[in-house]
Amino acid sequence: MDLKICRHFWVGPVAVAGSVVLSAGAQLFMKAGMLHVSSFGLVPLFSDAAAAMPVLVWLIAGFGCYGLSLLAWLIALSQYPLSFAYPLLSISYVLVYLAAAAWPRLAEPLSETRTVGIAMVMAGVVLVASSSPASKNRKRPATA
Amino acid sequence: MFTGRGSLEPAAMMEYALVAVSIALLTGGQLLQKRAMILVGKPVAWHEFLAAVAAQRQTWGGVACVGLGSMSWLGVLYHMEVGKAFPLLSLGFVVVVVLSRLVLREPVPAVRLLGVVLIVAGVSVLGWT
Repeated sequence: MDLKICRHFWVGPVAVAGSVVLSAGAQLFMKAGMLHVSSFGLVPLFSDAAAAMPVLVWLIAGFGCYGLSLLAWLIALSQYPLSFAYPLLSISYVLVYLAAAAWPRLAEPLSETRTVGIAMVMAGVVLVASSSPASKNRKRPATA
Repeated sequence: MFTGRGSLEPAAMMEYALVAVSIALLTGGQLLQKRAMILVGKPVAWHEFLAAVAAQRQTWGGVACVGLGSMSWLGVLYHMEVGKAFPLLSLGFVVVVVLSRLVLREPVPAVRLLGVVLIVAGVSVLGWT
Protein backbone atom coordinates (compact mmCIF):
# COMPACT_ATOMS: atom_id res chain seq x y z
CA MET A 1 0.00 0.00 0.00
CA ASP A 2 1.49 3.25 -1.08
CA LEU A 3 0.45 5.91 1.40
CA LYS A 4 1.05 9.36 0.04
CA ILE A 5 1.67 11.28 3.21
CA CYS A 6 1.69 14.67 1.61
CA ARG A 7 -1.52 14.41 -0.33
CA HIS A 8 -4.01 14.00 2.51
CA PHE A 9 -5.30 17.02 4.38
CA TRP A 10 -5.47 15.14 7.69
CA VAL A 11 -1.80 14.16 7.90
CA GLY A 12 -0.68 17.38 9.58
CA PRO A 13 -3.32 17.60 12.31
CA VAL A 14 -3.15 13.87 13.04
CA ALA A 15 0.64 14.03 13.27
CA VAL A 16 0.57 16.91 15.75
CA ALA A 17 -2.22 15.35 17.81
CA GLY A 18 -0.50 11.97 17.74
CA SER A 19 2.81 13.41 18.85
CA VAL A 20 1.20 15.25 21.75
CA VAL A 21 -0.96 12.33 22.91
CA LEU A 22 1.88 9.83 22.61
CA SER A 23 4.35 11.98 24.51
CA ALA A 24 1.80 12.64 27.24
CA GLY A 25 1.12 8.92 27.37
CA ALA A 26 4.83 8.22 27.59
CA GLN A 27 5.16 10.54 30.56
CA LEU A 28 2.21 8.92 32.30
CA PHE A 29 3.60 5.42 31.69
CA MET A 30 6.97 6.47 33.09
CA LYS A 31 5.29 7.99 36.09
CA ALA A 32 3.29 4.82 36.67
CA GLY A 33 6.52 2.85 36.60
CA MET A 34 8.17 5.23 39.03
CA LEU A 35 5.14 5.04 41.33
CA HIS A 36 5.50 1.29 41.36
CA VAL A 37 9.16 1.57 42.24
CA SER A 38 8.50 4.07 45.00
CA SER A 39 5.88 1.76 46.48
CA PHE A 40 8.04 -1.30 46.57
CA GLY A 41 11.56 0.06 46.34
CA LEU A 42 14.27 -0.77 43.86
CA VAL A 43 15.74 -3.84 45.58
CA PRO A 44 12.91 -6.30 44.85
CA LEU A 45 13.20 -5.48 41.16
CA PHE A 46 16.56 -7.16 40.85
CA SER A 47 15.81 -10.28 42.80
CA ASP A 48 12.19 -10.95 41.96
CA ALA A 49 11.07 -11.24 38.38
CA ALA A 50 7.42 -11.00 39.33
CA ALA A 51 8.06 -7.65 41.02
CA ALA A 52 10.13 -6.34 38.12
CA MET A 53 7.61 -7.24 35.44
CA PRO A 54 5.07 -4.45 35.94
CA VAL A 55 7.80 -1.82 36.07
CA LEU A 56 9.37 -3.20 32.90
CA VAL A 57 5.99 -3.13 31.18
CA TRP A 58 5.48 0.52 32.13
CA LEU A 59 8.99 1.48 31.03
CA ILE A 60 8.74 -0.36 27.71
CA ALA A 61 5.34 1.23 27.08
CA GLY A 62 6.84 4.62 27.95
CA PHE A 63 9.83 4.27 25.66
CA GLY A 64 7.67 2.88 22.90
CA CYS A 65 5.38 5.88 23.14
CA TYR A 66 8.34 8.23 23.07
CA GLY A 67 9.61 6.63 19.90
CA LEU A 68 6.26 6.77 18.18
CA SER A 69 5.74 10.35 19.29
CA LEU A 70 9.10 11.27 17.77
CA LEU A 71 8.06 9.74 14.44
CA ALA A 72 4.76 11.57 14.56
CA TRP A 73 6.60 14.80 15.36
CA LEU A 74 8.91 14.44 12.37
CA ILE A 75 5.88 13.90 10.16
CA ALA A 76 4.30 17.02 11.64
CA LEU A 77 7.49 18.98 10.91
CA SER A 78 7.28 17.86 7.31
CA GLN A 79 3.88 19.50 7.07
CA TYR A 80 4.18 22.71 9.12
CA PRO A 81 6.63 25.48 9.97
CA LEU A 82 8.43 24.98 13.27
CA SER A 83 7.08 28.20 14.78
CA PHE A 84 3.58 26.90 14.10
CA ALA A 85 3.97 23.31 15.24
CA TYR A 86 6.18 23.68 18.30
CA PRO A 87 3.86 25.89 20.36
CA LEU A 88 1.10 23.34 19.76
CA LEU A 89 3.11 20.88 21.87
CA SER A 90 1.99 22.83 24.90
CA ILE A 91 -1.30 20.95 24.51
CA SER A 92 0.50 18.24 26.44
CA TYR A 93 0.28 20.43 29.53
CA VAL A 94 -3.50 20.39 29.09
CA LEU A 95 -3.56 16.61 28.67
CA VAL A 96 -1.53 16.03 31.81
CA TYR A 97 -3.90 18.38 33.63
CA LEU A 98 -6.91 16.36 32.44
CA ALA A 99 -5.15 13.14 33.40
CA ALA A 100 -5.03 14.44 36.95
CA ALA A 101 -8.82 14.24 37.02
CA ALA A 102 -8.88 10.64 35.82
CA TRP A 103 -5.83 9.21 37.59
CA PRO A 104 -5.18 11.34 40.69
CA ARG A 105 -2.15 9.35 41.74
CA LEU A 106 -0.32 10.09 38.53
CA ALA A 107 -0.60 13.84 38.32
CA GLU A 108 -0.96 16.87 40.51
CA PRO A 109 -4.43 17.63 41.84
CA LEU A 110 -6.68 20.24 40.27
CA SER A 111 -7.08 23.74 41.66
CA GLU A 112 -8.56 27.05 40.55
CA THR A 113 -5.15 28.46 39.76
CA ARG A 114 -4.26 25.46 37.65
CA THR A 115 -7.55 25.81 35.80
CA VAL A 116 -6.79 29.45 35.02
CA GLY A 117 -3.33 28.51 33.80
CA ILE A 118 -4.75 25.75 31.60
CA ALA A 119 -7.34 28.16 30.18
CA MET A 120 -4.57 30.57 29.26
CA VAL A 121 -2.55 27.80 27.61
CA MET A 122 -5.60 26.67 25.65
CA ALA A 123 -6.35 30.22 24.51
CA GLY A 124 -2.74 30.56 23.39
CA VAL A 125 -2.92 27.27 21.51
CA VAL A 126 -6.09 28.37 19.73
CA LEU A 127 -4.40 31.61 18.67
CA VAL A 128 -1.34 29.77 17.37
CA ALA A 129 -3.46 27.20 15.56
CA SER A 130 -5.42 30.01 13.92
CA SER A 131 -2.22 31.59 12.59
CA SER A 132 -2.45 29.41 9.54
CA PRO A 133 1.00 28.72 8.15
CA ALA A 134 1.43 31.19 5.34
CA SER A 135 4.06 29.03 3.77
CA LYS A 136 4.07 25.31 4.38
CA ASN A 137 7.65 24.30 3.86
CA ARG A 138 7.98 22.89 0.48
CA LYS A 139 11.01 21.86 -1.46
CA ARG A 140 10.33 22.53 -5.09
CA PRO A 141 10.31 19.00 -6.52
CA ALA A 142 10.93 18.41 -10.18
CA THR A 143 7.46 16.95 -10.45
CA ALA A 144 4.73 18.35 -8.24
CA MET B 1 19.07 23.59 49.61
CA PHE B 2 18.76 27.25 48.68
CA THR B 3 18.91 29.55 51.63
CA GLY B 4 17.57 32.51 49.73
CA ARG B 5 20.69 34.60 50.27
CA GLY B 6 20.67 35.66 46.67
CA SER B 7 20.75 34.31 43.19
CA LEU B 8 24.42 34.92 42.61
CA GLU B 9 25.65 32.03 44.68
CA PRO B 10 27.71 29.57 42.68
CA ALA B 11 25.11 26.86 43.13
CA ALA B 12 22.35 29.10 41.79
CA MET B 13 24.47 30.22 38.87
CA MET B 14 25.27 26.63 38.03
CA GLU B 15 21.54 25.97 37.99
CA TYR B 16 20.79 28.81 35.63
CA ALA B 17 23.67 27.69 33.44
CA LEU B 18 22.11 24.23 33.32
CA VAL B 19 18.77 25.80 32.41
CA ALA B 20 20.42 27.75 29.60
CA VAL B 21 22.19 24.63 28.33
CA SER B 22 18.94 22.66 28.45
CA ILE B 23 17.00 25.27 26.52
CA ALA B 24 19.82 25.63 24.00
CA LEU B 25 19.90 21.87 23.41
CA LEU B 26 16.13 21.48 23.24
CA THR B 27 15.53 24.41 20.89
CA GLY B 28 18.62 23.72 18.80
CA GLY B 29 17.52 20.12 18.46
CA GLN B 30 14.12 21.22 17.19
CA LEU B 31 15.76 23.52 14.64
CA LEU B 32 17.93 20.64 13.44
CA GLN B 33 14.93 18.35 13.13
CA LYS B 34 13.06 21.00 11.16
CA ARG B 35 16.06 21.53 8.92
CA ALA B 36 16.15 17.78 8.31
CA MET B 37 12.49 17.73 7.32
CA ILE B 38 13.00 20.70 5.00
CA LEU B 39 15.72 18.71 3.28
CA VAL B 40 13.51 15.63 3.09
CA GLY B 41 10.85 17.58 1.24
CA LYS B 42 7.61 15.75 0.61
CA PRO B 43 8.20 12.37 -0.94
CA VAL B 44 5.07 10.50 -1.74
CA ALA B 45 5.48 7.09 -0.20
CA TRP B 46 6.00 5.93 3.38
CA HIS B 47 9.15 3.95 2.71
CA GLU B 48 10.69 6.81 0.78
CA PHE B 49 9.78 9.18 3.58
CA LEU B 50 11.32 7.03 6.32
CA ALA B 51 14.44 6.37 4.30
CA ALA B 52 14.89 10.07 3.54
CA VAL B 53 14.37 11.01 7.19
CA ALA B 54 16.91 8.46 8.40
CA ALA B 55 19.40 9.61 5.78
CA GLN B 56 19.66 13.15 7.10
CA ARG B 57 22.44 13.96 9.57
CA GLN B 58 20.23 16.65 11.03
CA THR B 59 17.61 14.12 12.03
CA TRP B 60 20.03 12.26 14.27
CA GLY B 61 21.72 15.45 15.46
CA GLY B 62 18.36 16.96 16.32
CA VAL B 63 17.15 13.86 18.16
CA ALA B 64 20.44 13.67 20.06
CA CYS B 65 20.21 17.32 21.09
CA VAL B 66 16.62 16.95 22.27
CA GLY B 67 17.59 13.80 24.17
CA LEU B 68 20.55 15.48 25.87
CA GLY B 69 18.49 18.57 26.56
CA SER B 70 15.77 16.46 28.18
CA MET B 71 18.28 14.75 30.40
CA SER B 72 19.89 18.00 31.49
CA TRP B 73 16.39 19.35 32.08
CA LEU B 74 15.76 16.44 34.45
CA GLY B 75 18.88 17.62 36.24
CA VAL B 76 17.38 21.08 36.53
CA LEU B 77 14.08 19.71 37.88
CA TYR B 78 15.94 17.67 40.46
CA HIS B 79 17.28 20.78 42.14
CA MET B 80 14.93 23.59 41.20
CA GLU B 81 11.42 24.01 42.50
CA VAL B 82 8.70 23.50 39.90
CA GLY B 83 7.43 27.05 40.33
CA LYS B 84 10.66 28.42 38.93
CA ALA B 85 11.35 25.64 36.46
CA PHE B 86 8.04 25.69 34.56
CA PRO B 87 8.17 29.31 33.37
CA LEU B 88 11.80 28.89 32.39
CA LEU B 89 10.95 25.90 30.25
CA SER B 90 8.09 27.76 28.62
CA LEU B 91 10.60 30.40 27.53
CA GLY B 92 11.74 27.69 25.16
CA PHE B 93 8.58 28.31 23.16
CA VAL B 94 9.59 31.94 22.66
CA VAL B 95 13.15 30.94 21.77
CA VAL B 96 11.92 28.48 19.15
CA VAL B 97 9.65 31.06 17.54
CA VAL B 98 12.41 33.69 17.48
CA LEU B 99 14.98 31.23 16.12
CA SER B 100 12.49 29.99 13.50
CA ARG B 101 12.12 33.56 12.36
CA LEU B 102 15.83 34.37 12.35
CA VAL B 103 17.45 31.10 11.31
CA LEU B 104 14.78 29.31 9.29
CA ARG B 105 13.33 32.59 8.00
CA GLU B 106 9.76 31.52 8.66
CA PRO B 107 7.14 34.24 8.48
CA VAL B 108 5.60 34.60 11.95
CA PRO B 109 2.18 36.27 12.06
CA ALA B 110 1.47 38.49 15.06
CA VAL B 111 -1.34 36.17 16.16
CA ARG B 112 1.13 33.34 16.50
CA LEU B 113 3.45 35.39 18.69
CA LEU B 114 0.52 36.53 20.80
CA GLY B 115 -0.54 32.92 21.24
CA VAL B 116 2.95 31.97 22.36
CA VAL B 117 2.98 34.79 24.92
CA LEU B 118 -0.34 33.51 26.27
CA ILE B 119 1.03 29.98 26.49
CA VAL B 120 4.10 31.19 28.37
CA ALA B 121 1.88 33.14 30.76
CA GLY B 122 -0.39 30.13 31.26
CA VAL B 123 2.53 27.79 31.95
CA SER B 124 3.94 30.32 34.43
CA VAL B 125 0.61 30.37 36.24
CA LEU B 126 0.68 26.56 36.30
CA GLY B 127 4.11 26.75 37.84
CA TRP B 128 2.97 29.04 40.60
CA THR B 129 0.46 26.53 41.94
